Amino acid sequence: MLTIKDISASVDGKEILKGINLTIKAGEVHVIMGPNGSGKSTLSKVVAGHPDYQITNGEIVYDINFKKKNLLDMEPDVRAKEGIFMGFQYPVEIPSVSNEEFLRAAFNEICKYQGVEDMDPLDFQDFLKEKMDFLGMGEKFINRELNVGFSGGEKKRNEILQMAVLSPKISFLDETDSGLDVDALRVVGEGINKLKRRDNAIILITHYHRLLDYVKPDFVHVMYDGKIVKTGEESLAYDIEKNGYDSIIKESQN
Amino acid sequence: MKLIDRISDFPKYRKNESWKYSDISFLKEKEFQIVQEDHHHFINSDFKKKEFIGDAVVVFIDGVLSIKDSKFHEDFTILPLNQAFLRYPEKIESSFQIPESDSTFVDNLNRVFSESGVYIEKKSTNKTLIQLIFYGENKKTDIPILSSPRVIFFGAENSNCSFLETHISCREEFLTIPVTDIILEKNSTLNYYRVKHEKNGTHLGMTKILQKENTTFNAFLFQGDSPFSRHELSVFLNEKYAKTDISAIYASKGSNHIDNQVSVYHQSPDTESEQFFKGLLKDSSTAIFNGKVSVLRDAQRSYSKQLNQNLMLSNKATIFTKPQLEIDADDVKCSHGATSGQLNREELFYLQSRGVSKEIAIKMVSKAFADEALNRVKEPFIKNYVQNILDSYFWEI
Ligand SMILES: Nc1ncnc2c1ncn2[C@@H]1O[C@H](COP(=O)(O)OP(=O)(O)OP(=O)(O)O)[C@@H](O)[C@H]1O
Ligand SMILES: [Mg+2]
Repeated sequence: MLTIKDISASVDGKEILKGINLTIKAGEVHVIMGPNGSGKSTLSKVVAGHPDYQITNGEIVYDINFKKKNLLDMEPDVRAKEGIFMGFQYPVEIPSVSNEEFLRAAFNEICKYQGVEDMDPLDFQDFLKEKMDFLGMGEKFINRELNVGFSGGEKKRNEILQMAVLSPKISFLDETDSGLDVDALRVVGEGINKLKRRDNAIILITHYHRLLDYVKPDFVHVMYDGKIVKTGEESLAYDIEKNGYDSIIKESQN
Repeated sequence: MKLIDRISDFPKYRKNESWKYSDISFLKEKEFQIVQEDHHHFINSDFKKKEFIGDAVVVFIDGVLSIKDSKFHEDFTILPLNQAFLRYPEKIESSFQIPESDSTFVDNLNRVFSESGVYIEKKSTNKTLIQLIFYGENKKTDIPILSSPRVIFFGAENSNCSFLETHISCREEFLTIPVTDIILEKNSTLNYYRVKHEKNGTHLGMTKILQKENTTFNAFLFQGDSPFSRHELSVFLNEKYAKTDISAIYASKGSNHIDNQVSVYHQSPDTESEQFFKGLLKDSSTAIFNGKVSVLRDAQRSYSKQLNQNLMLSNKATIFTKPQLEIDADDVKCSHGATSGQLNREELFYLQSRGVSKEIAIKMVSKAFADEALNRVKEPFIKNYVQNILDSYFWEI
């Protein structure tokens, strides 16, 4: 469904991604781990189309409804409309824009693009309420300004709410499990698990295996210095948490 | 008639600091005419439906008070200025208590050309709204019109009032010099709204307020764009416990020029003032914010806060922002700040990453920027009124 081929990317001439290859098929869950600064967030931002990054090499092919599309040619909003989603490591606060207003605008834009009729505001409220119940989110979230003054955990839940509303095909969730208390972790973990379907794929960027108690991965990748240096199964995540990255990094350098 | 023929020292205005970035020498050689009497044209009902939102509405057409088009209300004494001179001479006299502000140029221009004005007094505590509409008629004239209306408003002791001043015009070329004098007697409150959205012409407006003991003046100012627009607000906190809170939005585009001049004079102890100005600038437009706070030696325990924020929607636009603090008292709390920034890239990207197109994301973020000031407007219909004007501004982004 998504093929990342030999992608290199830089900021102001400084190379951050140095030839990434990753193939993601429908129904799969991938985990990306790696030390701080190894390029995990950069990779997801490159997929989402952040304007700070120049792609110096490679391509990203998005295969949807039997059509192959070149993701790098699309504006970020078009990628989102095509079904690409990124859960931000640091969700942005936008004062004065209400959470609901924003969600409805996003939802309607996506409907329009996909040729589906707009939902009227009342129906949308019901639709939203259903998603929020399912994520155990209180109503008070929805009338507040977008992410403004949300606690770290509330912001992450809000990211998952957006994912639930937009039902994307490919979701990069960048440290969505960081900063969550045990109960929130369970809610978010179970939420992600419910959003996982046979026709979509999820990429979890994380430092810990604890989220994997709720969402079972098919592959675990390790990133280091802008490259994927190792790919394994779920057990790799436990391994890393116990022994750190040292041996993997050494191995890759030989 | 040329301006230069009536105002011999015209070019001297620029000696005043507040005119540093605003040059109106283009007016000097222009011909203007003044409309002398009440029009015979009634404002049509469509216009009334759309623009009349006050309980009482006072209409000026091309600078001339039109009693026929106005709407009266028992809460307000409304009289043409020349009649008020005869009937309440001591009141009119007392309106001259308002001290002169630093720049007297606009005030003087208005006096030289003023043919028409209105006297308004509010006595009750009823929460009623008076609206003043300054309207430029949709009629062709060979020589552009100069209008110079004057308003004198009294908020009686203990009164409470909302006052909306709207400036709209269908004319293509004109010069308007409207001046509003406000006197707030002890314990009174005034919510003042000024909405300038003429599309064309030159606007040199002024509002002066004298606040007595324990009065509250809340203002919201909007300057929509036209080729040249300037508004001066001078607030005199003349007696103790006088409080003023000013918020404002200005939105410029094209090659237009918007000038905001605010001066707050703390003249007595325990007075408070706040200024919150937000500017949006598009294309190659220019805007000015000159915010002055003066605290006299006697005005101990005064509090003043000033903030000017600008959103630059184009890198060809220019903002001149200048706080001016003159503080002679020692026990005061004053703060000020000014920022100007582009749209926040991270905010835009966040919205885009959820499927919102760049154009709509820009609109959402700029609207959010303006809302921080607009949300201070308590009356929902005035808020809507300004919101609609702003929406069309954002629409063109
Ligand atoms: N916009 C940018 N400007 C400058 N440097 C950047 C930018 N984005 C990323 N970098 C640099 O690229 C490297 C990788 O950053 P990235 O955020 O992708 O790491 P990460 O793997 O997500 O780390 P963490 O685990 O701490 O979240 C870092 O050295 C970072 O400083
Ligand atoms: Mg990261």
